[in-house]
Amino acid sequence: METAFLDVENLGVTYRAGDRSVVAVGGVDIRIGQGESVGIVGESGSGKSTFARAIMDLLPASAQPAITGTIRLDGKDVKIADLHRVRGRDFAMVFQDPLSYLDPLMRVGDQIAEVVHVHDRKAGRDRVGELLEMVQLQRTHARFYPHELSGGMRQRVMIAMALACKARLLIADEPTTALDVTTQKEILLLIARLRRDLGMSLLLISHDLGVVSEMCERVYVMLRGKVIESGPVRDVFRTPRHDYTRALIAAGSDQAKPLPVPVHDNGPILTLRGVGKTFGSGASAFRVLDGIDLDLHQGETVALVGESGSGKSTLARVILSLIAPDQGDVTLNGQVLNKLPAAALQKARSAMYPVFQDSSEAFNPRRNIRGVLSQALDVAGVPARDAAMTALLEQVQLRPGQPYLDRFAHELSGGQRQRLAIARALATGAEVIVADEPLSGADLSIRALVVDLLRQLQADRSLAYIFITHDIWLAHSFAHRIAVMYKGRIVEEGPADAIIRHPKHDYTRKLVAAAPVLKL
Amino acid sequence: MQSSIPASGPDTRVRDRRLVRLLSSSVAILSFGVILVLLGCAVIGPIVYSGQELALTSASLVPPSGQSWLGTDELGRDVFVQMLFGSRTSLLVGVAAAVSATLVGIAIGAIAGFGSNRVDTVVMRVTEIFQVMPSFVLAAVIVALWGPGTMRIILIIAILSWPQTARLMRGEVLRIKSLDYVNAARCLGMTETQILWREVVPNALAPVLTVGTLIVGQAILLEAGLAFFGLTSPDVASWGKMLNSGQRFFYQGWWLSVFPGLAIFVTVLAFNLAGDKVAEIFNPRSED
Repeated sequence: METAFLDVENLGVTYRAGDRSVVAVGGVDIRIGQGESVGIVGESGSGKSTFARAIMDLLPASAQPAITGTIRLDGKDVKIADLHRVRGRDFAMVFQDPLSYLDPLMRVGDQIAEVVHVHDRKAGRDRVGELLEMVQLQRTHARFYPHELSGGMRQRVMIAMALACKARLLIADEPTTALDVTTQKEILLLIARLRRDLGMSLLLISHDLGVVSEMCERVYVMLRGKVIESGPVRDVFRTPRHDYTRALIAAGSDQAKPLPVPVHDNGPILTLRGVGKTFGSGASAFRVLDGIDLDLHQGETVALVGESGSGKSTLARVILSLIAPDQGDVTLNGQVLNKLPAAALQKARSAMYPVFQDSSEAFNPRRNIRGVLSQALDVAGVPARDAAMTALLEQVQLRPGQPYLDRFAHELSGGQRQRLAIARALATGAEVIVADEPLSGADLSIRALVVDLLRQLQADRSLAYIFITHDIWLAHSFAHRIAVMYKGRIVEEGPADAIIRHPKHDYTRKLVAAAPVLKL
Repeated sequence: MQSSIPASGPDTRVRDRRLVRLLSSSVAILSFGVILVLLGCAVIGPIVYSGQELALTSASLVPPSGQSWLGTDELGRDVFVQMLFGSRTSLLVGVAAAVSATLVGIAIGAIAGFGSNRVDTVVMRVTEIFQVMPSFVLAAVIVALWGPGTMRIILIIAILSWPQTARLMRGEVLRIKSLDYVNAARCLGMTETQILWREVVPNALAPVLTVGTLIVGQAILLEAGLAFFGLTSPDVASWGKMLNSGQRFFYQGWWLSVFPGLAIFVTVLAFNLAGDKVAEIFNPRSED
């Protein structure tokens, strides 16, 4: 076998916390050939990022990491203690959140120049311009500060800095997870092109199987600090050998059976007519929502899809009466919410409840679960008995009953917290649940679990969902109807399957084309 | 997927065990212990030595000895006995000023942070006026108008101290009011007042209470400063006054300034460390 560019054998990372030690990575073998692109997939906590940070020598010293194993670069041994010499010279890294890796007080051109200078003292200022052009920015962008650039542009700057290292391996840790799909597509194309032109190797770490299947030749699947399966991307994704890989693929691929649009006997439970909202005034006025019409029937799910800034979260807040619209009406059960006096609104809106994106902020940290649920039961006028609360928790599959009630939300995992949020919504007796990106931070397996749960509850209680997501495939598999939002308007709306398969509006077409999908 | 919570015994006692653990750390025992001893001295000391506050012993400026443990001052009064009497003033002024400044600061900060932009602007400008007010000028004016007195000293210090608490409180409230759980409460139909006092304020308290314990120290020092300028009642003993009168005799009797200084130092330190613990107890996440 030819010598690989990078050959990592039996790499282990152990953290010490007090007297306990936690194995974050337990004996991982990974090979990357010259110019090869390799993906690592796995859920949060699988050790994929820890692996990347270990070989970059970037693990936090406060966690007292102990790294073991052999690392060979071009067939030559590299001591663990010498890894910091390799970083920046042979390896460069791009992170998920470029804003926190860029100096906020320094122009991006100067930041790139700094890196250029470290690696090539003779290189002139011109090199910065060249690098910016390589990542498809303009030379004039050198004068910008990080906050003046969009997320995609910042990630390009990070890539330019990685290129300035003239590294032979680019490690990208969830490089596009924080970006919109259309921007993600551009960044992925850029990385693929640069890799081809410069002959760089790529180690792409992602939870998104679609991204990995588009970008990589070989893939490693990690679970609890170990590689459980590896091989060429096609083989692993088509004929997975491990149950876990199979489950990941099932959760990650688009295998939606189109849901029949239910027939409605009654009128819609929620109606929006001509809803508009402007933030600011005068010259700085910004029209966030413009002429939104939407109907939601009992037992129906409408997905609002769109990219960041399209106004979908503002629309959720308007629906929930957290923000008043400037124009149009929001009608719930025949009552025009935005025209009700405050006291009546408080009563009327209780037929509706939100589930938020970030479940860590969704609960008062001083209230235990008993407190959270009894507050919600009060609204429905149900006596807050432990039995009633345990029943609610069981409905969202939080089983162990009694011990839960005295715990705090922050002691639960993200998936458990999101189910608690659903339990709270059920406790209020709401008929409409407005969920704003409830699964965007969740791992695939948790996503599948929560989606199944929401479906089950809808079938049992004929709940109606407004489901906001940027993930068009998730909308496809979960919603009856999809409304596509773009610049504050609903540009297209209809049965989910029709929207995905036969998009009419240009923007919808672009969105569908850009969304990575795991093709089997 | 089965969801199981790591089993960890009967959970009703989770919080009690947490409290016990927080309170059984050496820092907690030491700081709360020192505060208890100080309070004990302030309460019992003057009773035991009743009437001896100004009693003169045979000699002035005697260094610490078996007879007078901490020496005597220039008039031959026992420093130890004076410090016991002084502890009453210092602790009373420190604690009372800190408590009232914290209460006022919490209320004003909460209103500024939770109210509309206009309310916020007005309240914060008023707060700034109090912050830039020169403390000694204010104290001198009040004493000149109404005469000296411990209650007035407490009032002055509270007036000077609440703005820092209010600013901190406002910042916390601004941060917390944008969190989703506040919207979740709003969607439950809670009124804005209920949301402010039940959902927002309790979660903003931890840093504010820590600062409150710092104010205890500041107040003791400020009282000392006011005593130095003769703005406190001449017939009430306090550590600050002893420190300031003692420094005139620093070369003849170091004990006159060192012991009251040490007492102030230990008290301030104990309150600050205790304050950190209080903040930890108030933060339900401190276990993580």
